[in-house]
Amino acid sequence: MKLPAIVIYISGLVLPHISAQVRLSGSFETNSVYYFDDGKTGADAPEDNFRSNNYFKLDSRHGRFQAGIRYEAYLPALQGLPGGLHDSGLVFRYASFGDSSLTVTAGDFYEQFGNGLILRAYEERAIGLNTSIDGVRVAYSIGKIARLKGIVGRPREFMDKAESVVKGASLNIDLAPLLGLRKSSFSVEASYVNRYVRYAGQQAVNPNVNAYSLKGNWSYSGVSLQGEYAYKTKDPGAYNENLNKDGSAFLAELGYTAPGFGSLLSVRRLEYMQFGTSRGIGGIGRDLNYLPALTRQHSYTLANLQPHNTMGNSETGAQFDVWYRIKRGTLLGGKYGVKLALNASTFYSLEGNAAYGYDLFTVGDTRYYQDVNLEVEKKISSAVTLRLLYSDQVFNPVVIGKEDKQYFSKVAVTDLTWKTSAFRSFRFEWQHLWSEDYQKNWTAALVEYRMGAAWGVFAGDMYNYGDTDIHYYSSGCSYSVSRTRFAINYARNREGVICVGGICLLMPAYTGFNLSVTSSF
Amino acid sequence: MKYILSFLTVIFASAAPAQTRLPSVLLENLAGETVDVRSVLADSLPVVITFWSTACKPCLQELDAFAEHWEEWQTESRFTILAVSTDDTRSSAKVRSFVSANEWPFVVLLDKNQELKRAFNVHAIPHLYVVDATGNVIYSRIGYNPGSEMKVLEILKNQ
Repeated sequence: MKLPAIVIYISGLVLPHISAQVRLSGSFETNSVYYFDDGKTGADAPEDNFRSNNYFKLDSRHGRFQAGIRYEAYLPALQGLPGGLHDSGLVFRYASFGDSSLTVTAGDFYEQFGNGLILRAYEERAIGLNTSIDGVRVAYSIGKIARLKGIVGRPREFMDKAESVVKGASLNIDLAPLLGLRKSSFSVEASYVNRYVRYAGQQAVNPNVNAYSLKGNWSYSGVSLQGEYAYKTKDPGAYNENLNKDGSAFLAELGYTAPGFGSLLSVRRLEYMQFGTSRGIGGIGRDLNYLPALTRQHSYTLANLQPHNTMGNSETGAQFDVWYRIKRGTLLGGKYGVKLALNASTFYSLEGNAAYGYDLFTVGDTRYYQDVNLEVEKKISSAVTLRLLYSDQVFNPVVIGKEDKQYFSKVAVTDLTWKTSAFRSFRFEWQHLWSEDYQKNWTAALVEYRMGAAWGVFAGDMYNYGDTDIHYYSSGCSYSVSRTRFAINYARNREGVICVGGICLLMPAYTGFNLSVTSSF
Repeated sequence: MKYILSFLTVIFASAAPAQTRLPSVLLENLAGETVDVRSVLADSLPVVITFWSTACKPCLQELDAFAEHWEEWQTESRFTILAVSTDDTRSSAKVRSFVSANEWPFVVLLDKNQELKRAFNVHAIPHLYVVDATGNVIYSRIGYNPGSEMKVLEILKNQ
């Protein structure tokens, strides 16, 4: 009998007995597509038509000890995901000890310092991103006043490890109790990250890149202010045209709230802040830090056709949000009230150039993105809710590596939910995009029917009638039971950028059946 | 591959009777303070935990439904709602203002780097759990269909 079989059978005998003391939990997820050639969109199916991403995670906990593994199998990976995701393997394993003040983890872990400007190790499966770090992490809390974290390890790079060793520390101190502030909160966080990549070449390349950040967070009554400044030492590489310049980032967020009202202003400036897990190589799954697009995350497809992609080496801009709820029982609010949401953002290049440097306060000439969005939600009766969205957008394809142009578009969305009985409802969605640029006008419609707590079916079409005359149809159903969800759909998908958490990936056009199963225990 | 499948079978079979509990994870509240998730059990009341984000329409529908029934339900069964925002730093600063505008009467915590989400093995949102007063998960559901909040009330009434 081979060794793996022996291990499995012994596990089978032992695990049921120890599970009374050891709490096991985990999850399974499969996302598989059967592709078809599609002459209309030019989508090419792979030779065997099939692609499948699979994930299995198992955690065990016994008192203060915890351990776990994750197995991933790309059989092969879905089209459009990074080519480094292939084959299968145990890509995540860890053991940790934790009590109320100390946590020590050996193996793979995730981490974020501050807002992630200098370090964020995390996962976004939808775009094949996983930058967990394999090493040691220690976190120590001193009462409720301070929390110190230290890490050392090698970041994951798809199915392998990056060539770097990353070290870092972060100290978060809650200053409010120390300063005797009872009605306000005030905390600061100082962080440091070092990325070491051995260099054996002839050029004067420093194997160490250091990054520092200082973050402050203050709130009093309805006012909140958060700011972070980050600084990164010279990191010449392909992602910044081998420039030997220091980088910096500044982020400030000012908010005001009152009952039924909320607002937030965010301002950010980035200069040479791309920070790869290896020297000079960044992009999906290869970034050590997190620089998301600070724009509204749209859930309607036409409003999300051309999303912004952060220009980490030269970008400055701002975003403003206001939410207001007109109270029920008023003239405008009616019986159920009305929700209003206004969002606007604009992002430009920095003024100056790489050779002479960038001006700190002047905005450059290249507009990367701009939008204004107004959303109204009104519950018309106990059974009907109506949502309206208007979005005015300017998109520059230079942010996805194409020519420097300005695409102007206006999008309108009507979304109506009709609850036909206690557990059954319809949702109707109609969208239209007006544009004189790129593929010009689009329209889209969707009907969804949901039954009980478990079933949902939908059918929709997104039609580009301004240029290509292509229908992007889709239909499918989903079923949920407890912690398991099954979803199957058939769809024609356009080539385009998909963004998850503000990080974007250019996906090819594809047509096919998609089966998705997620389950946890 | 056959070894892996066998191993998975063994794991599922042995884990079936396992009982999931609310883990101890440190998250930020809307005031920017660090709190342990298990502190929601301090009142010895059942807790409805739901994972949501500001860009997830079904999540917002679900939370609005809970907010609408909140006062009426509290007369039938006392419980706490913990709304765990999975917004990362792209939009986590919006959560405080967003919650204030909606006047949700819930405990809201920020899971900026998916720590609680991973601990609960949540892959799709909204994902709802009902946890009894001692921290044991007694019900869970993925997704939201209008009306399914009534099932949650039914479970809470039996606590």
